[in-house]
Order: sequence, then C-alpha cells, then structure tokens
Amino acid sequence: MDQFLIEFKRGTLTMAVLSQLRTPQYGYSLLEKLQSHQFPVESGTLYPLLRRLEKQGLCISEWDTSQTRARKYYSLSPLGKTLDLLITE
Amino acid sequence: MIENYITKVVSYLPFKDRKDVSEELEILIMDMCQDDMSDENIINVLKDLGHPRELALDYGEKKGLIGPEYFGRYKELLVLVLKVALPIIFILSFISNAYNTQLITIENQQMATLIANLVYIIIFSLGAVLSAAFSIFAIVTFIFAILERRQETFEIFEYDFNSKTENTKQRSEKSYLLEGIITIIGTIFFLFVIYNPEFPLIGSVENGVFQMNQGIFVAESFASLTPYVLLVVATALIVTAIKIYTRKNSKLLITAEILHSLSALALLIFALLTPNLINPYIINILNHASVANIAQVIPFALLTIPILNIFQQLYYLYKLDK
Repeated sequence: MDQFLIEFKRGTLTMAVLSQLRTPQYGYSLLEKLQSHQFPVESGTLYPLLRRLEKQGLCISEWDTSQTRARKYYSLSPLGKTLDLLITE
Repeated sequence: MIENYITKVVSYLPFKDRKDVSEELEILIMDMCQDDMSDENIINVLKDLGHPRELALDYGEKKGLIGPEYFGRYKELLVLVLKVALPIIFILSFISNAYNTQLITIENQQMATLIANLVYIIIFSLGAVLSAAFSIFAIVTFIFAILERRQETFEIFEYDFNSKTENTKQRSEKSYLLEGIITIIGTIFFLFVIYNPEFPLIGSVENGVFQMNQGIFVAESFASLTPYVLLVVATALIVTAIKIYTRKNSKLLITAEILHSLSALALLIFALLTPNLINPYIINILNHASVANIAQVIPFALLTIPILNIFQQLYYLYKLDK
C-alpha cells in the first residue's frame, strides 16, 4: 500500500507541476505556487522532478541573467503542452 | 556551509550534471533563505532539503552499470583502495624486480649501468601497478554492479549541516605546518649525521655488556656523499619554508617537492655506488637476521620513496590544473 501511495503522489505531483508551467516559472516560485494551492511539496523533491521532466522532453529550461540573481526558468515544451491538454480534457 | 552541502550533493552525481545542479541548488538555497543568511536559518534550509545523498538520489536516473544510489560509495571505495594498494604494489614489485634480476648483488656498478637498470625496474614496476589498477577497477565495479542489481541498501551516515569550509581550510593549513615542523626535525637529524657519521646510534654486546658504540656509516666512505646530503638538506629546507609560509598546495611547492625527491634519488644512487658505506657490523647483523641479502635490499627499497613522491607530486600538479 505504501509503494502504491508513493507512486500515486509522484504522478499527482507531476500533473500539478505541468499545470503550473503553462507560464514560465523558476524553481522557488513554482514551489510557492504549489504550496499556495494547498499542494505541499518538498523543495528537495521539486528540483529533481523538474530535471527529469526536462530530460523526458516535457519541459524546457532557460537561464535568465537579466536580474541581479541569475535564475533558471522552466516552461512547457510542445510535447508538454500536448500532454497537459490531454490530462486536463 | 552552503558550499560544503552543494559539493557533497554533486559528488554523488555524474560529472556532466554537476555544474548545472550546483548552480541551481545554490539559487534555490538562496531563495529559501529569503535574505536571512544567519547560520541557524541556513541550517534549517539545508535540513529541509535533506541529506545530500538522498537529494542526489532524487536527481539521478537509474541507468548504466551503477546507478546514482551506489555511485558515490563506489567512487569513494575505488579511490581509497587505489590510493592504498597501488603504492604498496609499486614498492613490492620494485623490490621483487631488483632482487629477482640480481641487480642488488652486482658489486661496483657503473653509474650508467645502474641508472639503466633502475629505469628497467621502474618500467616493469609501473606495468605491475597498471595491471593491478585494472584488476581493482574491474573487481570493485563488478561488486557494485551486483549490489545495484540486488538493490542492497547502504546505511546513510549522518551529515553535519553545520560543517563550514573554513574548518576544512584550517585543518589543511595545520597539516602543512605539522609537515614543515617534522621536516625540520628530520633535517636537523640529517645535519647531525653529516658531521657525526660514526656517532654511536646502534648498540652491541661485548663481553656480555650492552653498549651503544656502533655508528651507521663508515666516515671515510660517507665523506664523498656530503655534497649530495647537503643538497637534500637544502631542498628539504626550501620545501619546509614554502609549506610553513604558504600553508597550501601550489605549483611552487610541487616543483620544490619534485626537486627535493630528485636530489634524494641522486643521493641514494650515489650511496648505492659507494662501496663500504654502511658499518660492516650492521650488515652482518642484518644478513644473519634474514635469509635474504636484506642489507642490499634496503637501499633499493629506499629508492621507491622519492620515486613514489615524484609521481604523487605530478598527480597533485594534474589536480591543481583541473
């Protein structure tokens, strides 16, 4: 049962993250957004998840060095947008 | 603290991911701290992120022979085993080759012949080291590949979230200072021996009475080595001065260490070529105490020390440039 719950949470988190990446987000802003929607997520879980989604081709990242502190922004890739649409239909 | 934490996390990751992950983690930690950079807040933030190995496991993907869960331990164990085993193998192989080829029993060798034979022995010893390195690599990799497949879990040791880079630097500086002090003590002893080669350091039993009345060297033979000993002492003092003054590794220190080792190598070679250098009383004791010509093996064994030091310094030079 525990393993089932872990897998369920992992899948749910992935869906939640994809939904929030419709607009470009950097890691901490995404963390705050998810927590504001009553979706608790550990910071140590979110960043690895973003990297996995990027490697799977579901999101893309870009460094923004225009601000005082450089940040890596994530957004949905075309494949990610398609998947997001299919999930929310 | 932050730097130590990030360094620990990425140490468990493949090289290609380290730069990106460390930059991202640094920004995340800064954001989570929210401008409160007190030690207490930083520790709380790092604890929220979790143990470095656990965080690294979440980053890694299970692919290849050894996954991220075991990669850190695999790398640590492999490096540790190689660092211990390879120098020992080199020394044993060196002595074995010198003994088996009967070079050590050849009397009054010419300089060119001796150097040629030494080069021959070094090349063969390096071959043994290379072979051993491949074997160790294969065995350790095989063991961890099996562990990966069987999903054995390692106990996670506690991580000190309060560890700071400054502490590590202080320990490193202290070790350089300690090495410098030890070298000074050794140099003083060497200088003493130069001016008192027959000073009684070894005891003997005469008429049932134990007396400290035997020196290590024969004064007349030792006199010819004085310039080389002075060169070794001078280079040792230069190395010591650099260590105590800079208290860190640098190209200057590495160069001085290599020169010191080369001078020690030259001294040992000339010592090998100098007949009747060692007090015959000591040679008799050593030969009676063992089945091998141990008195002749010892100089060759000592040769491995500066040779190994030279390789070690070249390795440090490579790491410094990386």
